[in-house]
Amino acid sequence: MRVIVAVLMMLITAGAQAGSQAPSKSVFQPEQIIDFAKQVERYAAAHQAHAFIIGRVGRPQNDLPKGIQFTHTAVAVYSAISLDDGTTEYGYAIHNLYQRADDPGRSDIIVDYPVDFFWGAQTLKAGIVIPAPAVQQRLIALISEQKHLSLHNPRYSVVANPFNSERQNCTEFTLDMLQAAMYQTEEIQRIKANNVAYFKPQRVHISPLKLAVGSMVTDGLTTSDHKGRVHTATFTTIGHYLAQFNLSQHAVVLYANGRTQAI
Amino acid sequence: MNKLVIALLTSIVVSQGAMAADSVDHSGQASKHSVLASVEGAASTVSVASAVVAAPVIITGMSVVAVADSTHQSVKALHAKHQQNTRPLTITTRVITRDPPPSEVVVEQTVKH
Repeated sequence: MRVIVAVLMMLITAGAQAGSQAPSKSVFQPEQIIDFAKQVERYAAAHQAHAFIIGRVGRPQNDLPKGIQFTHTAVAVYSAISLDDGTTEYGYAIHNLYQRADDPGRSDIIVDYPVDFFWGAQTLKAGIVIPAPAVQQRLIALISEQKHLSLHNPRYSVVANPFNSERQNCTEFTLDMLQAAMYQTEEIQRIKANNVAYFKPQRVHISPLKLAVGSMVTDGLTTSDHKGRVHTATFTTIGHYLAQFNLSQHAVVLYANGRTQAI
Repeated sequence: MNKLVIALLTSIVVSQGAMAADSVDHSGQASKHSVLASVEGAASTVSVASAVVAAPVIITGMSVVAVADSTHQSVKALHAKHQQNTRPLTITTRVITRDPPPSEVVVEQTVKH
């Protein structure tokens, strides 16, 4: 019996480590990623999106829990990009909360670009939610003044509770940026109060036992910030939130073959 | 009993992938930049560049008025006016990425010597 437990603990640890890390190699050819990344940019540009919410799928579709379509969410902002050769080009810069690969309980705010963003994608599909122009303006003001950085909580959990400030994941950070922009505030308490009042998170359909075991083997997963059932912010719930209050201009899933599906 | 324990724990291991975070920065992967460089070398239509800084383009109403200044940037302020903009925004054809991590840059320099 002791041997069985020891072997299984090794399996759990190995699985958790592998699961906490993004794939080290892309599953697509680089040309495919480049083409898709440009497709996403051109799609948003065609809709005059100066700022939009972007989502990607970083796990095999069959591995996604019920109700979750995208595994990473961020804000893309149309920008003048200064390059290392001294030139300036126009495109989208993406403002992310990224979990540290070597310290999964911690995160950083990182700016990357569409090819970087989709490099580890498991499916070439993008979630695109373009807020109303007034929301875009306020988001751009927030980010250009770098006020969004004060919203960052580096204590990471993949199922962070968006109703408090104990932990934060990429989608909660995106939501908090939206709230800060719309309410023109950086007061965390006010942002969380409005999350509680108006935002409907996604229930996480994974058994408490599995979540509890997971939290034992990785710092990037905890349920300590939840009371009762676990709910977290997702790309889709952010899209619904904006739509509910008529603040969404356009919301689709964009596939590599050009097909779109309304969210 | 042992079979039940094995089955339960195996299902837990499998489910770790479902809740594994995807919000890990991919940009530091050492292979990505070398792969992109090889794509650039093979295809004359692909031009790859590293970004230094990105300054949001500010909009007021329907007009693009300025590029935002940021405290650490070296971008000149540009002024462009588009009256009642219904045209797509301009997107570069170049492939822009973040810089590779320092460990990759130092390794490359060592190899050259």
